[in-house]
Amino acid sequence: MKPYFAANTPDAAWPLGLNERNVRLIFESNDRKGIAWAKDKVKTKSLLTHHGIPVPRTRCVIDSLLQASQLWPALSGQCVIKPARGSGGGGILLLTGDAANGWHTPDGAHWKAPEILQHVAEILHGRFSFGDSDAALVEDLLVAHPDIARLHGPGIADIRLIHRGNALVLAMLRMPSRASGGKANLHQGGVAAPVDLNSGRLGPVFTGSTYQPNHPDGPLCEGHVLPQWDEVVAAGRQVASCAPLGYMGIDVVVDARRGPLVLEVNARPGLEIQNVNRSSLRACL
Amino acid sequence: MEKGIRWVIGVCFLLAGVRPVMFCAKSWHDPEALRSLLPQRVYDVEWTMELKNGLTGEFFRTYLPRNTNRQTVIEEGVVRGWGFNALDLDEHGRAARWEVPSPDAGAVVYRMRLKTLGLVYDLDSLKVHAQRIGPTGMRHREPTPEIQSNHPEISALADDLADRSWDLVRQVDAFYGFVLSMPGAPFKGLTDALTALRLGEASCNGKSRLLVALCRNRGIPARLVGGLILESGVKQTSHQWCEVLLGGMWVPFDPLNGHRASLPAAYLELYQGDAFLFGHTPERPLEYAFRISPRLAVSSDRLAAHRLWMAFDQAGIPVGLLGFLLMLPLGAALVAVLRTVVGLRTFGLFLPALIAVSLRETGLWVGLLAFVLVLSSVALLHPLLERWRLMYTPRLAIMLIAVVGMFLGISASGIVLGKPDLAFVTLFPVVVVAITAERLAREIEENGWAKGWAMTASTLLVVVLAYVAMESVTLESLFLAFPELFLALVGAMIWLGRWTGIRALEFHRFRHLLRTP
Repeated sequence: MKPYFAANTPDAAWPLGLNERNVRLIFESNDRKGIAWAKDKVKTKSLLTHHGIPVPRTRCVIDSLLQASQLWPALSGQCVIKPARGSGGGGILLLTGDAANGWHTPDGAHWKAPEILQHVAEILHGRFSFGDSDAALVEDLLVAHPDIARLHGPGIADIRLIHRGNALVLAMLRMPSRASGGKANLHQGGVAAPVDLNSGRLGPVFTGSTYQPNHPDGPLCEGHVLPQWDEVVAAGRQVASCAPLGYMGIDVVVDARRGPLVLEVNARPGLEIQNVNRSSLRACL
Repeated sequence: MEKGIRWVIGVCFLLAGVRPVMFCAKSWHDPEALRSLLPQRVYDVEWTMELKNGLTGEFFRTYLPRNTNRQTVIEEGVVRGWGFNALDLDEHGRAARWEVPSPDAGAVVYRMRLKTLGLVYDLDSLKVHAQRIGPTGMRHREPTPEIQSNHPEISALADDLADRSWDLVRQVDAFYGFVLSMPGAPFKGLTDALTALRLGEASCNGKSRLLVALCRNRGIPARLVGGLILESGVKQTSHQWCEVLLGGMWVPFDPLNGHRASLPAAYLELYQGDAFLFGHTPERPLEYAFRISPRLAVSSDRLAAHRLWMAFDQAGIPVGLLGFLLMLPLGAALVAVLRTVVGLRTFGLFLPALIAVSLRETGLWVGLLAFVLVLSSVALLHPLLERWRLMYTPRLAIMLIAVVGMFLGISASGIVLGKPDLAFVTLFPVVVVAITAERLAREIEENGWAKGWAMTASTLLVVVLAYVAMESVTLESLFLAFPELFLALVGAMIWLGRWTGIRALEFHRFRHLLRTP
């Protein structure tokens, strides 16, 4: 019991617990300003763009219904509407179509202009950000790189990089599965595979309880090398050098046309990546 | 941990510890002083009685507790309605009689503050082969229509059980053991001794009559005692046990709850003998209920803090309420420990402590049941509100209205169904429940039903643990005597706030890492 109550995990191989993450990483390295910056996708993107880091192209930002007129020209072809300060993927609307013919979502539902306007109003009134007023963001829809898309079913996979300052500590590829309904979040049924930091090679897929070579929906993942891995790492390093955070999780998607794009920066990245990698984040300390 | 923080923690503990340690050092040899630390637990008992459709001049009566060697009436009086019209000492006890002054007189609420003691007789070293029996004792040897002590079936059983023993104590023990081993049954109304024997199961009054009958059959004086078991909450059931004259003492036995020659402090005696607790004009139903709230009362002015509480008490702020306030931080600290050290997830940080505080008013089980019921139905309402795509704040307001409505509904049905405990659930902090329901709904929406209910279960676990800690008289007394112990709590929380150990449940979460070498 001694190591337990002395609070000091015996060595770097022990997992990083939530207490230690909060006290020794987040409190020490991330101030409130930095956390607020990471929470707001509009602010995040503007800083990253300023530093020349590739991000999904913003078509428009609506922070008041008076600007709704900007919305319609932005909604043509394939696009996505997001709350700037949403969490857990709530309120994200993927649309294809245009003002003349109406829009539809990937599940085939038709959306008309008043319904979209209602959705934007809900974002602005804070339905997805716990009552705080928010802004809506319209972006280009990403197209998954075929070398990653073939590893899993419908949906889009992203790469989570954990950075302690400029040092890349751990990385994983989060993939949607049939069970998760297209979402890549681990706690919603998505699966993940560790990524070797040097080669970009995937390790065995972690399903939440077991480690296996294949994605639960079929394709073999273990041993597969991620496309454009060096650019992904470079993008992560660039983000880490300009972000006002000392410890962060950086989410990157490899777009089929534009290459690695930084989706968002997380000031309180979760600890599940340790289970995926079967190695500890205490190396950060 | 930084040196500065260690110093602060050290100073907190030092300041908190000085007086308690000095007090113990000074008075370790003085049990009276140590006892003065403990504020006594007293009970407020409220009788609510109403003669339904009672006409002018019609009556009801009840037995009010008397002072005995183990119970003291500290104060009593009418809270609502009118005072009793007559008070007689009859053969059973202190009978108070109310006469209805007018048809719309309504209910009488009579409140008593009582102090009771537990009592244990040393029966094992007692041997009684013959005893002098006074006139009172003689009366308690006779059979009655409900205690058929000379019926052949009772005689046969008594002969069988008391066989070969001349010691009356051993005989009574054998009777008690037999009646105790009979299954208890939730019968309402009167069960006589013979019926209890023939059925082979009985409620408190049937079992007690049978035990009394067996004793009387052997010539040992025995009588019924009626009273209340004092436990937090509202109830209508009274209780009956018995007393047997052994070696000149009336020794208590409860053959239903298994108290042999002992009574817990929670037993309040109301009357002696085979009587009814309530009497009233026939054909008019009497509605009644007891509301029992344990309270703490400071009994000594030895400590500065106690003198302060007494001053508060005189100003009309009861010590119980202060204890309440003093215990809330303890509950909150416990929640912090369970979250940070064990890793239990709860809805909100201090919601469990707040819920535990309210459980003190409603009673543990009724409160928990009402809480879970309201929580789950309001959480089920949430998907509907989601489908209508309501904004966060209006949605929360609707859930609050639903919570208030459900609590009022439960209270109303409690009154209609004659279950007065349920009526007190309105004391629940409805806002807290509404927020919790919203958190539950969100958890279900984001992480699924299993996760949502798992979190509800762990919240309830934390609530119960906090409730147990906050109900502890020892802890409450310590905080009442030495309020500076809060500093120790602050010190402990600073330490906890900088504690970077792995939470107990994280050993499970990261088992894959811990297993690999």
